[in-house]
Amino acid sequence: MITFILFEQRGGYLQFKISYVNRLKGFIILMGLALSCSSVYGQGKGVVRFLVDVDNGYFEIEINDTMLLKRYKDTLPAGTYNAKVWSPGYVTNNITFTVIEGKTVEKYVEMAKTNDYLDYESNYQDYRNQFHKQFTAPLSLSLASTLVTGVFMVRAYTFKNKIQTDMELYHLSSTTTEIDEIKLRVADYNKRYNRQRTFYYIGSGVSALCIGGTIWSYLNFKKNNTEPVYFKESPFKDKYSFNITPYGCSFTLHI
Amino acid sequence: MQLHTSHIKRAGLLLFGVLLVFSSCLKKIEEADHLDTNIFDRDYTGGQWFNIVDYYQYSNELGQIRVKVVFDIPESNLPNLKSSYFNLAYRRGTTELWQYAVLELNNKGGFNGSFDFITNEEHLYCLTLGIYLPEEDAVINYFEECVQL
Repeated sequence: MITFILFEQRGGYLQFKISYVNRLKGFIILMGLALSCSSVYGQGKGVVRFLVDVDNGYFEIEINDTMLLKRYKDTLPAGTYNAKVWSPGYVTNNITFTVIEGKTVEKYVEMAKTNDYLDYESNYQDYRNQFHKQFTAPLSLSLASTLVTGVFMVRAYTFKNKIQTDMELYHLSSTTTEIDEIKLRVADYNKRYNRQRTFYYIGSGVSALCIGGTIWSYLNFKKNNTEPVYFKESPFKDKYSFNITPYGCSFTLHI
Repeated sequence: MQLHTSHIKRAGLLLFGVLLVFSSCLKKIEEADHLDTNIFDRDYTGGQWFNIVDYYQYSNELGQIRVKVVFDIPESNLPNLKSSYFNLAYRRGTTELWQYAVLELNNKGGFNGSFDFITNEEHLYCLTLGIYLPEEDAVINYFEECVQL
């Protein structure tokens, strides 16, 4: 602690006399050294890239309990840092990394899934399998059946048009040989038309059954299954807040 | 988009409705199985395609008594696209051989003609008309009609 100011009265004059003046000088010199040392460390910065091994693409990194990163790359002053890496469904991982001035360092972070998340994944997989079995598969069958039925319908219409065209020609023609040819064509098209018609009706029946079955199956699925949900809050939530207002912005660290 | 039950039901009903509508348009074409109304069709199953419009006795240039039978082929019995001529086969009675004539289109869109008969004691005059196919030398769809004077 520095104390100074001693008043001495001499012959009616007030005089300041600084005691510990040498210590003050020493203090000023020390402060100057400290400042210059810190400015030397602050000048050097490097880039750090985090390769976080998660399958959801999201992670948060708390560096030295003071800074929160939500991106894979940042520029930091050179030095060694301690960090905590979190991702939803994963155990928070404590890591250490060193930033080298003027260089880019990569830090691979291996993450382990929590038991809760593993359970959720298993339940969700079961849920999806059941969904595919009770909805996707019957729906695919319905669509395939409807498409095939549609093909039969189009072909039937094509033949129907040909038959109608030839029937008109039949009523126009006054040449017996031409009429013979027309009738042969009509007989052929009619046979094929009736065949396509039959397939179309069968297909329609099958499609209707499949559609009905799909609806029933889906309703059954919804009744007996609930989609598993996994939600985990970030441990860093509410610890950092960044506010922007029309009058300025502020960053707050909640300790 | 979340899959709601109502969406599924609506889509299903719409699809079913579409199938139903189209099925009503794909009916059996009855006429295609019974294409036999054109008089030029070998398999023609319709009725007589000509009419006897008049018949009378008259005396020809040589003073001989003859019976004229007048017929016509109405437009309604002919195909929609009219030919300008008609290859006709005819015979008087049942014993006479086929004879052939070419009729020309009249102003009513049909064909008409007449044939003379030698008078007989029965005063019964039967005319058989058919369609002649020159390329095959065949007669199809012939009908006989008799008139009594």
